[in-house]
Amino acid sequence: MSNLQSWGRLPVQKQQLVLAGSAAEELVGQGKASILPRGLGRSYGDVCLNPGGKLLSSAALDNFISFDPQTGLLTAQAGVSLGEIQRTFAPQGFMLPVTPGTQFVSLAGAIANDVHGKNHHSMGTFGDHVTSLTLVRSDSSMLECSQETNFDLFRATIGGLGLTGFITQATIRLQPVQSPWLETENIPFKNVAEFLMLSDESESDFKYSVSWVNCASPANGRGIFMRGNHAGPQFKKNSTTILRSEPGAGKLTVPFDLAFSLVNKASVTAFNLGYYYANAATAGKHVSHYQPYFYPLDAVTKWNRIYGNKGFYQYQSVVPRTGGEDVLQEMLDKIRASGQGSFLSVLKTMGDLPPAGLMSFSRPGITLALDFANHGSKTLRLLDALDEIVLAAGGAVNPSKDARMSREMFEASFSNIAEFNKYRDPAISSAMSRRLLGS
Amino acid sequence: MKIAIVSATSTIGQAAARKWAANFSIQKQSELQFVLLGRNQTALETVAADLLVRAPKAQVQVMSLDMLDRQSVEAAVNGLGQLDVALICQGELTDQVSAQADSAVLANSVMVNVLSPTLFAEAIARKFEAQGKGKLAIIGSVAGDRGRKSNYAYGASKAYLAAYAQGLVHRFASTKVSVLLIKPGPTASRMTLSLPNPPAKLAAPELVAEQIVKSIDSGKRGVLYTPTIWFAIMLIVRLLPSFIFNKINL
Ligand SMILES: Cc1cc2nc3c(=O)[nH]c(=O)nc-3n(C[C@H](O)[C@H](O)[C@H](O)COP(=O)(O)OP(=O)(O)OC[C@H]3O[C@@H](n4cnc5c(N)ncnc54)[C@H](O)[C@@H]3O)c2cc1C
Repeated sequence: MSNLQSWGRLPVQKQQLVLAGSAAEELVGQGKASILPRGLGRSYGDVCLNPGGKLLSSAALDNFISFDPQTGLLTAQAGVSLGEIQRTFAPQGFMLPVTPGTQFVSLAGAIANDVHGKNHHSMGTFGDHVTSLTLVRSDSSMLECSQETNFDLFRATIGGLGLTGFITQATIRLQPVQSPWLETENIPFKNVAEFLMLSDESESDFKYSVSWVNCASPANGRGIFMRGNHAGPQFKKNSTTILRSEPGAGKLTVPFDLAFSLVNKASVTAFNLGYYYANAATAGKHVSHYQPYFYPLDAVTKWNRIYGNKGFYQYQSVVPRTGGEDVLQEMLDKIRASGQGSFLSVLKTMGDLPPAGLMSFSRPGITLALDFANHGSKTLRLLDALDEIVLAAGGAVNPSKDARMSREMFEASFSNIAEFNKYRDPAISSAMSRRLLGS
Repeated sequence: MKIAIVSATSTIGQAAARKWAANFSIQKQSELQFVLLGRNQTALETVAADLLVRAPKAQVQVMSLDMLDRQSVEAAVNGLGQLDVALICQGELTDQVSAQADSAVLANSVMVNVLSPTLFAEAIARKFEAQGKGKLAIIGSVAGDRGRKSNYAYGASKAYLAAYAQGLVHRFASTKVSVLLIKPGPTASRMTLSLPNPPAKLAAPELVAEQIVKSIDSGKRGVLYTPTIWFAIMLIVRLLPSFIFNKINL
């Protein structure tokens, strides 16, 4: 039994970690005790937790299996990290088509949460690029799932929150790139309306776009719009470009556990102000290595420790584009009024590609992701209030980052729950599934 | 460069192979040749496929054999042909309590941790002597520096390897054959990698592999502590007088 937590570090009961072999036989004959597939534990909430039960880790399944440079198809075991894929293939002229904001994520974890990145508007989700996967279930079946075979199970497993079986390996189509560099541009904006204008004007010409938004006062709603494209083979460095090169990965760390949180009103306000001015001062065009561009937070390993031993909540919502401006303003006002500002508040539009999975979170609209230090009931009350706003707007909350939403909110967010339940593996459950799916 | 890795399926052996693969640019990969030796053919093939994805132009060969049988070991080493580097990684962490209670565990520990690496080391030394050059490295452990009640069955086998390697270093002192004994401190297993905040005391296999590959490539002779901090720690542990040492729970 060990003290395994998720990235949010909210307190959790002990769980037993079991290492999966290449055929994940450990899942078979589980009987009544609950088991849950586990990747690198980078989910914020309780989707990767199974208090009192077992976690079946993919950590030993970290091998590449094959790669075809003609098609870009990579087959790899479940536990290979996205960072390993980027590092290995960038020199060979390929990169992941979609990546979340950290590279310390496993291949299967990225599929199970159907993660998205800064290019949702142009490339969809991670699951859109998965061509097949191998699923082991507790009835000892080992199934090849793809568009062609076992399609129902394939669709239920992408974004299936680990509940349909253990993925042992998967095939994903990498995208060809001409260099590991990106040409990027930072543009300050004053309010949500300006953010939306920038999004509209950028979506067709920029493959990547994401914004940081201030949700502490003063100047709540102001932010930095960051857009970018892959650079050509010989990008031109001129006097106006600022080069952000590859940092020594993980050179900075928060080396110990803190009994208290460094995140409070004063530090959040200071950070939000500082972040704005630092970026506004360097507004304009940059050339950036993919590491600092895709994974700015990875430069400080274990940054989740700044929240102390009570941990933190991440809250990600998506609301429809129509009327979205007012809804977002209402949320930002609510947060400011609560005095519980968020350090890193990320705003992005999502495109209208149909979701790859039955339970995929992503859908057309505007998504806002926020981090809140855990101040107990005060924080939970704020999140419930945000839920109400999202619910009224016909939006959704992301379960793969959540640790507290109500069943009602979850059911309002997803219309395919009954269909999804047909594909669940009866031996598998998580803290999240017991909370939101009843088992 | 032709590299033989004995027990290429071990965490450190595989991490070192990956490091070598990453060190060769696409243009130079065709100069890279791996021979992966071990007991389990399927497991070796998995490691080989992984290396070929990382270094598509390299050559990778696998060889499964009975690693405890002296004739199989000699035949395998002879069959390797001209060789530049050999890294001997086999070994298993013997459970001390079981070794005290069960002589089968103890006997197995001596065979896997002493007999097998010795057979490989001597066969490769003979090859390198005939070639007039080569880089041989053997994975030992800081556990071999001083016998402790919690792990002397394992530690003693690593102490044996240390003395064996010392002898080889001496034997090849004024030649182009380098011999290196590597003493890793406690290294993270794949299990601990799945913890979001793994214990800070465990070294990442990638880091250990990086230092190993760098030292072997540079032709370092003698002993390598990795991570380097273990040199200082073990210096103190070795120098502690027995009357103090024997009172500590280690
Ligand atoms: C700094 C940071 C930035 C992030 N940025 C983004 C972002 O931009 N976009 C985004 O979408 N997400 C983002 N995330 C969230 C993260 O990408 C996801 O939570 C991801 O799924 C974590 O993968 P993991 O390997 O750590 O899996 P875990 O957290 O261990 O598990 C996640 C889920 O996958 C399931 N699973 C794991 N392995 C298997 C398997 N072998 N078979 C079946 N199911 C399995 C688990 O059961 C669980 O349901 C971010 C997280 C962090 C810490």
